[in-house]
Amino acid sequence: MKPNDEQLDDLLRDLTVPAGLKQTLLRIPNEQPVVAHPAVLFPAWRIAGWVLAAGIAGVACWFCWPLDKPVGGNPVAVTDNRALSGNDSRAQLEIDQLDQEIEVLNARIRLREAELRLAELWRDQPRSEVSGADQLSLALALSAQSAIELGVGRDAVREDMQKVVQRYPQSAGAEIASQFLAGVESKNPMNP
Amino acid sequence: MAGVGYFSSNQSTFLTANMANDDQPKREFERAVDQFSDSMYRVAFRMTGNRELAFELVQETFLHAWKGLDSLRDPSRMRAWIFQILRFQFSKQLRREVRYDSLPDGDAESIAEVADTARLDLQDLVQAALNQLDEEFRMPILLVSMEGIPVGEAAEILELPRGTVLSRLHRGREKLKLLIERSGELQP
Repeated sequence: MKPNDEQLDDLLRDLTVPAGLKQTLLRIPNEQPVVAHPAVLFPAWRIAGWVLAAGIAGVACWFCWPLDKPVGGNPVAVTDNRALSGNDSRAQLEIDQLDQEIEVLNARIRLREAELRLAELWRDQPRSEVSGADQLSLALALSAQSAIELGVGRDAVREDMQKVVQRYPQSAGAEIASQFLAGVESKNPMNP
Repeated sequence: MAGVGYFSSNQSTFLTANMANDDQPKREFERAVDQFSDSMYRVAFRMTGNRELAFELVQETFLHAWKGLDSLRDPSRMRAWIFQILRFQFSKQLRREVRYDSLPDGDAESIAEVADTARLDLQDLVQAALNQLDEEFRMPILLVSMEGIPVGEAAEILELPRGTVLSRLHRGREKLKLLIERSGELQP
């Protein structure tokens, strides 16, 4: 026969419970001390296991993270894609910085070339009334001015102007360099 | 309230209150035993199919409940909580690869408890059919159909969505009825 729901429930419930069950259970509090922390649902070893696993995962993530990791960043929370984009932006910054340095070096090269051209000019057309220090300092100062005209920033030639003042004080070139350093627009003595 | 022995009235009141608090877990435990032990035994027996194992399972469950009673913050959840412990304890026994007999034990004492031979045969059939049922269907039937535990509470015990419990209950019942019917037909 196939029982209906009610018959099925009655069949399942039709059980005799042992007479001594309750008495046995009621003795438990007298025989067992109360433990402050239950070990049934969340045993201590399981929590310790989770902590250990989290620690291992954290260390693994830390070591797998790119070496130039951002300070204060959370390596676990950031995905690989974000790490890659972070690397790209850092690389771009480095490239920009190198470009600026190259630009400064090129400016210095142009400045030296102008210096050499002027020196050659002064060598080919020496003037007895102009001293050697004046010639050299003028060459340096004028080359610096030429560099500025060629598009080099004033900051790039400031150091050279300071050298002219230091090495050839009281010279014609030092006068131009001083004016430059003082922020005064100097005039080319060759074309007054 | 008058002082008792060395203690002043206030101290005595304080001690009495503390003693009452100390007895609180024991009272809760006794109430749980009184209310749920029969029900838990029936479920344990239907799960194990063995009286001794069911007895041990209920004992273990109440032992763990007593030890962890302070973790139960809401006493109204006592039944759900203690049945969860029963479920965990049963799973632990299964993990130990304890194999249960499909039929109730046949010792003289057990048989004497069930006087009617015809009823014993029917019980054998029911238990045999229940043991053939998958675990996922068995528990909803035992909790909801057999013990009358509300579906929401059964879902909490089984850590399943309410809809899943209802679905398994319905499908499990149909399977169980079919198994009982087939077993009956096979009987001589």
